[in-house]
Amino acid sequence: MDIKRLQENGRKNAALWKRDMKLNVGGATLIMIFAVLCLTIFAALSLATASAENAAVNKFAETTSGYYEAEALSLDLTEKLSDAYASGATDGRLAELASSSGGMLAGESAISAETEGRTFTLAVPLGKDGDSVISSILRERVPGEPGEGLEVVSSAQVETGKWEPDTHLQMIME
Amino acid sequence: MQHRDRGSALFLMELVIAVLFFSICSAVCLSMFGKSAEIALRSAALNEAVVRSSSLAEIYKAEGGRLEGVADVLRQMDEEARNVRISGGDGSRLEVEYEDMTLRLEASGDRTAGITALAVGTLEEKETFSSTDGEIYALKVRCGGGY
Repeated sequence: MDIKRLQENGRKNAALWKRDMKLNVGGATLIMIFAVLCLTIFAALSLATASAENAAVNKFAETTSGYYEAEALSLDLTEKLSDAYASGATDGRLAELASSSGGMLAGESAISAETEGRTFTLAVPLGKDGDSVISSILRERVPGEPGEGLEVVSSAQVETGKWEPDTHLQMIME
Repeated sequence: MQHRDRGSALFLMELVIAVLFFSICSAVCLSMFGKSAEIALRSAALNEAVVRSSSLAEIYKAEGGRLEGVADVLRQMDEEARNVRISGGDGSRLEVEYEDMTLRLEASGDRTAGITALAVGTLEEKETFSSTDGEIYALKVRCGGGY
């Protein structure tokens, strides 16, 4: 009889122990999960925004540096071409001079009908991707004008690459 | 009585685990927030440096490389510039002081100039650009010279 009671008590104790040992998911855990989720989401969003902004600013800085470098090269080349033209260099020699310094020279540009004297188009690639150039139109100084050689009629940044719309939106950081 | 004590102990254990886990997660998240703030500060400073440097470069080109002319334009037009001064032995250096950065333009004989933006004040204190001696951005510019 006593053995049976002891066995019964043992079973009851084991059941109570099992009940109490289950993983408690109370209010504290739920609030903690919610707070951690909020923190993680906002931290990831702020980091993604800051990184994207940083990438855009770096690209802007690189483009600006590239523009001024190309412009300086374009002016250097203009000076060299002007001197060479004044000393009677042929068109082939002028083109060779331009290409040896990283530029490209084409004879008789589109506005030649509106200006006196011969005109050339000088193109200097801008940046590493080479999707745009600094295009300068150089005109021969006609007799009677001050100076000699070539002068810059106009200079502009021209996009040469094919424009493609960016239809991609990155949602997950790499 | 024994059961109630066991329940309290388990609740305390749950709370301790929750607090511990929350501390670890919040430490990681706060470091991410800190990193974001640093990146944002760096980006803002770089953006401002690029805009100011290119603006100075355009003034330099427009003035044909004359530093006195550049200084005059900046004194009249740039309200954010605290101090504009020409220095160097031969007057070939122009310094423009802003609240958080200094722009230094160093002209060379062949109508070219180097423009450097250096971090000062709050940017320098936070050591955002300390790895590059405070240099935020550098640019080389050349003026036309009659062409």
